[in-house]
Amino acid sequence: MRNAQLAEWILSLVTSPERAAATVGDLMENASELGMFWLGVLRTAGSLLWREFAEDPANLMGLAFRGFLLQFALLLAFFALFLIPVGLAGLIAGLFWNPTANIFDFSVFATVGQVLGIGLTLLVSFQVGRWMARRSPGRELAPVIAFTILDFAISSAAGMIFLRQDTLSQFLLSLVLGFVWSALFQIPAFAGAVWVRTKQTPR
Amino acid sequence: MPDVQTLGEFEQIVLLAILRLGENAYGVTIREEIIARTEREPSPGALYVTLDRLEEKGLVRSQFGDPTPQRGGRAKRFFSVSAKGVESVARAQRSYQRLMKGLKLPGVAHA
Repeated sequence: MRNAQLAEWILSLVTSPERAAATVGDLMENASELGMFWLGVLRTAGSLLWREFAEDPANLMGLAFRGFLLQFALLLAFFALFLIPVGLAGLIAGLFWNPTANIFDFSVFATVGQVLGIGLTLLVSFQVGRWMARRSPGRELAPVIAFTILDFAISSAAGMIFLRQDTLSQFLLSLVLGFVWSALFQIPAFAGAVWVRTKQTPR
Repeated sequence: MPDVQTLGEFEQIVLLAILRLGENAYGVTIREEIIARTEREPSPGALYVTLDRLEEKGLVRSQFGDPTPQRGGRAKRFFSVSAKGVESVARAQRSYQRLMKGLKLPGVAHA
């Protein structure tokens, strides 16, 4: 059953393959509807993942902080290596720009810069996810949870300092949106951790 | 002082359910036993996390049965309570009983 194999793979990211298979068997026995089955799979995977984080939160937050610094340094380095040359090329092209000839299309530079920026950000996040996962053998995905919490805490603190919320509802909404944004931003890091986890020897 | 673990309420419930089920204690039956006896419905995630934690504490043991076609060829993971687990749950229950002894709770019928 294809669904069960996918469920087994998801659970094997947070427990041993044998336990994942037995758990999927239990959930198949228990769930009368497909929706209930998947709800059980996701809730179980979430609980097991949270437990991995809760077992050693201090060390995982420390690892996430180092990952945060690494991400910042890598983004800075990539910015210097790729985006500054693109900007300089645009500047030089601008010097030779002749409005009547219209041989340069400046929107190309902006598009190249945006694509490079997004691509590099995703790549850096993926690599940081791999870097953290390799330093947390046996619970490769847990550092990404710590990273998400850290990112949320930092962005929330920055939001409270720099953005003005007039009402409590605005403040709460910004917190919720901030958390969703933090979680979405960690998808490449999560993918990097999954990459490492699937290459590790089963626990 | 003997090496006895402190147990949370849900851990005690899981241990008692496994003891009641005997040799047929695996995820599905443990959950059903808890629902039937306590009228609370634990999420599968909470149950598996607790079972893993109890096993790491050495309070339960688990072993895989034979694969069954009803479960798509997947084996059941059977649980049993270790001697340390029995001692821990008995100690926790004795503590409750000592606390309850002579106590009359308003609105609660006493046996």
